[in-house]
Amino acid sequence: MGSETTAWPQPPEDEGELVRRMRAGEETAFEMFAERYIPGLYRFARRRLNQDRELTQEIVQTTLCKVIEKLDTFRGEAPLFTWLYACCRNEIAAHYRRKGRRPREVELAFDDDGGQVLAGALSGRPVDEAGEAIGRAETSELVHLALDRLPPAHARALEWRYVDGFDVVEIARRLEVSYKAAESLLSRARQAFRKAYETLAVGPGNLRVPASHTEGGAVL
Amino acid sequence: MTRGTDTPPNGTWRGAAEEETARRLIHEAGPRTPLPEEDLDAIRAVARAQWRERYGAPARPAPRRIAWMPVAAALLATAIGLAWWARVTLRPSPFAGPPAASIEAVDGIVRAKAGGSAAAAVPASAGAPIAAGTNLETEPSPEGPGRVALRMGGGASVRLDAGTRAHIESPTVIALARGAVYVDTGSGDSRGDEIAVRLPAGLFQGIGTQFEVRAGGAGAEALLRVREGSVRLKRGRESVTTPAGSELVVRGDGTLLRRAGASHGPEWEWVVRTAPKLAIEGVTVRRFLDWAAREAGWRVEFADAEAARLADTVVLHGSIAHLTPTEATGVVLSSSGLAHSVVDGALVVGTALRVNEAGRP
Repeated sequence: MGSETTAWPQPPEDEGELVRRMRAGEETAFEMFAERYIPGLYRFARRRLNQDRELTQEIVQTTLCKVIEKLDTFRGEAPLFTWLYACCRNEIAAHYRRKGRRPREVELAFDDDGGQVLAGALSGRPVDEAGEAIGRAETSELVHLALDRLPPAHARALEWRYVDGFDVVEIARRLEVSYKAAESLLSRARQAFRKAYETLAVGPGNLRVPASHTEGGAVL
Repeated sequence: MTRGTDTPPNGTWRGAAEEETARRLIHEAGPRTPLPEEDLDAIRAVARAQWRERYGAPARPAPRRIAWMPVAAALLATAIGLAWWARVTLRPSPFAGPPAASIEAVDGIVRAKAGGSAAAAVPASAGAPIAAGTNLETEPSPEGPGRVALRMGGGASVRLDAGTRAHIESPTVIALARGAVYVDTGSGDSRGDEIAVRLPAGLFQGIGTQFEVRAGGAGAEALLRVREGSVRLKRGRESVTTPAGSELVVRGDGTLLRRAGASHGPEWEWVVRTAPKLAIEGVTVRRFLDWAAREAGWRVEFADAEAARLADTVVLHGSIAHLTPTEATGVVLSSSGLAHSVVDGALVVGTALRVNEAGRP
């Protein structure tokens, strides 16, 4: 008790440095990369692939293999996740091109995480209502992706606090740390969440997709 | 197109505002869906192999093994562990004992406390079992109201509105001290055991039904609103039955007033918002409509035969986990090539052209 007990390795703030260490063959750098980016990439792809686990696994693996192959070209001018998600989008788009349009009779409106999948199909709804629902779903996706990018203990603490409604005493008990340490962890978690969310939502290479970018009804 | 919750403007993420912004965003986004660990492991393994092949990292060294451990240290650790386990497991907990219900969904702050226990109330979360004798209390604040949906042991759906204090007596009886409780015993094959709600005003016994009982408020001791089936109020030797589409007011002086009541509309909004989500993966539009209409208090009408045919044949995939039944109706129907309108409690579903031209059939 009394101190934060997370063993999760803190990735370097400088993604260029992380990539440099990966290229130098440092195992810990690869593990940091995997911990930090794979869950979010999986969530990102799954909601665009009709929750198809097998296909999601295939697309994410292909994306990562291509990204790893081209690590030498990463200059650190844009966030690493931007590059990853852009590659993933390309893989998904290529999949749909190979397959043709998705089955007409299968209508996926919203996925598990609230991500919008068939924007075009919403045209029959009142604009404000549909827009609000899509806006909420889109924001939910960004929030979840931002949480995925935090150390697991931080993300868990934020969800306990703001989704489950636990107070700081309960969170301290669950984390087996002091009240003060839990407060401090929450404060740092909020700052990290803010940074991650802002990067995803408004930073360079943000993930908000204009409606005009939909292809065949699917947001890619 | 409007955005529901958008990025906060620059400068609003400071101090208390930072906490409020984070709270709002994370609360509204809801819990993340757990990712399948086996999929992530498989992806990680492939990526690691690719990375090793490309950058030539040596194989990970085998972890060091501890050859032996002093017996005394092991015994001490075991003793400490047992003491901790006894302290934790012997503490009175609303989640211990034979479950009378389980929590299906929590919105906002909800606390649970074992009846008769001096222990502090603990936050309730989705999936937790609730033992008979548990007190549940939902946050009354209008800024952050707490609501909870329960699945009773006999299968009925029960929901508690904000500002409610209720005692789960058994899988079929709930005592209401304040606030409101909604009961839906289900229909058809999924019908659950009947639920009774106990108040000082009497015992409200559901009979194949959807109903709400609210304690106090507006000069009344209790207000009963019946959506489906009927509810019998028993107090002493007196028994009064209230049918669907009616309300029964139990006044402070004990007199009763019966009047007509709506089965849909704004007064049922909290019930709609608290509805447990339907897993739509692989279900037909018809099945979805039955669920949404039941939650919203609508009756379903088809404007044309083609719409009814589509409802029976279109199969849904995905999830509506972040939408209320009324929001999901718009999304699912328009995604299925169907139009709809709600008129006088009827959800009219038709092919887009006919409904647009004719409005209501």
